Amino acid sequence: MEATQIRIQDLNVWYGSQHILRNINAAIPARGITAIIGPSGCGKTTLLRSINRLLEETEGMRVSGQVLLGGVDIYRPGADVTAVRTRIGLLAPKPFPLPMSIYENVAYGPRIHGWHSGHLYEIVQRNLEAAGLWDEVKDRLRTPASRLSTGQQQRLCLARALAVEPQVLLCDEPTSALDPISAQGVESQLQRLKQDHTVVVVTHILRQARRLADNVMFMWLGELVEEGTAVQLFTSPNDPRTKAYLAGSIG
Amino acid sequence: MRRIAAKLFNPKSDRAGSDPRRSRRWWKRVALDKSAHYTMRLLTMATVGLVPLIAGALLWRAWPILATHRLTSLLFSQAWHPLRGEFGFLPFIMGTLWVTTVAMLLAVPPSLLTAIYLAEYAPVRVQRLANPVIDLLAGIPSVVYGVWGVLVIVPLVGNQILPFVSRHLGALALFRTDNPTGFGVLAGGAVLAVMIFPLIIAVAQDLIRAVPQGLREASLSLGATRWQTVKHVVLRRARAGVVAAVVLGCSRALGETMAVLMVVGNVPQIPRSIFDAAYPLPALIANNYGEMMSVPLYDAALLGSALVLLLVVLGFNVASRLAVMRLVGTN
Ligand SMILES: Nc1ncnc2c1ncn2[C@@H]1O[C@H](COP(=O)(O)OP(=O)(O)OP(=O)(O)O)[C@@H](O)[C@H]1O
Ligand SMILES: [Mg+2]
Repeated sequence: MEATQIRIQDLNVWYGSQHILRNINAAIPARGITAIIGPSGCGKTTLLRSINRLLEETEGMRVSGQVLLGGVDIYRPGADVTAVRTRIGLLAPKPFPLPMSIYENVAYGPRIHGWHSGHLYEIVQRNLEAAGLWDEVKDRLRTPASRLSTGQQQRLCLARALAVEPQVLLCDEPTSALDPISAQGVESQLQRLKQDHTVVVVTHILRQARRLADNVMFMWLGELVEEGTAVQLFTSPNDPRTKAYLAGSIG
Repeated sequence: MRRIAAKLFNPKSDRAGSDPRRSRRWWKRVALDKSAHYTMRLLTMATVGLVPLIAGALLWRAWPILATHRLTSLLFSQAWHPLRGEFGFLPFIMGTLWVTTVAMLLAVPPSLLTAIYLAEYAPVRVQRLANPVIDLLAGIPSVVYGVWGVLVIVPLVGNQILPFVSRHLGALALFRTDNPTGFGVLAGGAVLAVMIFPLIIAVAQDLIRAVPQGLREASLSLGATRWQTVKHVVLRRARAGVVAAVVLGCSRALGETMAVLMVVGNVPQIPRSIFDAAYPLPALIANNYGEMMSVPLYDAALLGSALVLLLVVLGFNVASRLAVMRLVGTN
């Protein structure tokens, strides 16, 4: 639980002349759940997307600094972006099922990497079970994924992300599009996943952060104000801005 | 007055007359809304009605020939001897199909790849440069393409491509010819291809762009390469649109007249090779309508061929629409 999985060093992000992330330095421990909290527009999504290099899909974003995964900088020249993204998965706030069947959605990752063509079915089943969706879809694996409900789609996206066996799973407001029951389902899946994955969750819901997080990072206007264990940060925050945010008086 | 208005504007669903709160302003708003609705409906119906109207007019004027010749002999006879009263459309139908097929083969692969490049790979700078130029290409009058075809494509085909191909592939009937001029199917198809290029690029590009960014990112987040993402996700999602773009290009190619007519040779024969001269339907009509009208039934025959062209294009559109619907349905 203590080893550092991801170390972020002097990370800066600009969009044009707008300085979106300022000198972020942080350590995300291996396994367990790290929650990123902070007011809207403070850069949580940007930070998450810079950790799996998805940020460069937005034209005009400039990144400097380092993100070390297991000690190796993912931004080093010649780094293989696809390998980075395979090891660090990202779950978007809104589910985007690929235009194919439920089965093919989960099999997509293993297929494009050319893995295990022999026992794809087992992989699909295992990951749908891990995402808590198997029982609901096992009789209609061949139907288009777009026919699932939003909550089911979100769990399908989770299964799809897990199928490429990432070490790290980044979740950007994974329950924001869901009803309370589905949200609870996703939360309990994340809690199981943290046993052998490093999970990073961006959330607006402080109670969710309290429920889930082992560690918390608080961001404010593009800066990382404070990070620490959940207990420490929630009970005795050091920075006045963190205090004010937790008390609900800012943000 | 109000009562009349109330009757006019659907008295059952809004029992407005009995409600004293509904003021004159309310009536004005409703009247405007309804009249806008009916005006637009009328215009739409008029537009839709044009198709049967045109088809009806053609049918009426082509009737003399339809009444005197069997349909099968009109459609499947090769004999085109107006002075002898023989009117076989087959050479012209085949000419249209040959030229259109060659144009599609030449145009579709490069224009789809261009559309994919511009929508998925090109930096904004390149897009800003390329797209206005492509739009410009679409706006060039077809006679200009025709002149360009005569000056560039025809000599290129006649002096370079034909000798080269017949030396190396002359054994294949598709490439064998006794027409050394360069005016023929290949020149017509090439000019057409250049003309429908911008159309296919523009439409396909828009539809590829309409695929949500989140879908691309979902695929990339799993470690897919950009090409894998394009091939398995973006094109799959956009495939109905891509088909629609190709269909649009094909419709345009089927009916294009001026530029093709200038380079295709205009010999009423069934082409056997891509170097043979051909005589597509639109060229037949454009070249001959208004001339030799004293020949009996000639006028009716030309309008009959126009009807055939219209039906070919309509049939093609219906078929492709069904195909697109099936693709959308399986998504
Ligand atoms: N694609 C983009 N183009 C331009 N600016 C962007 C883009 N994405 C984010 N930004 C800017 O970066 C800053 C941080 O945005 P980000 O989405 O990371 O915030 P966030 O903390 O995730 O907010 P929220 O809680 O509302 O999701 C904002 O000021 C935003 O305007
Ligand atoms: Mg966000």
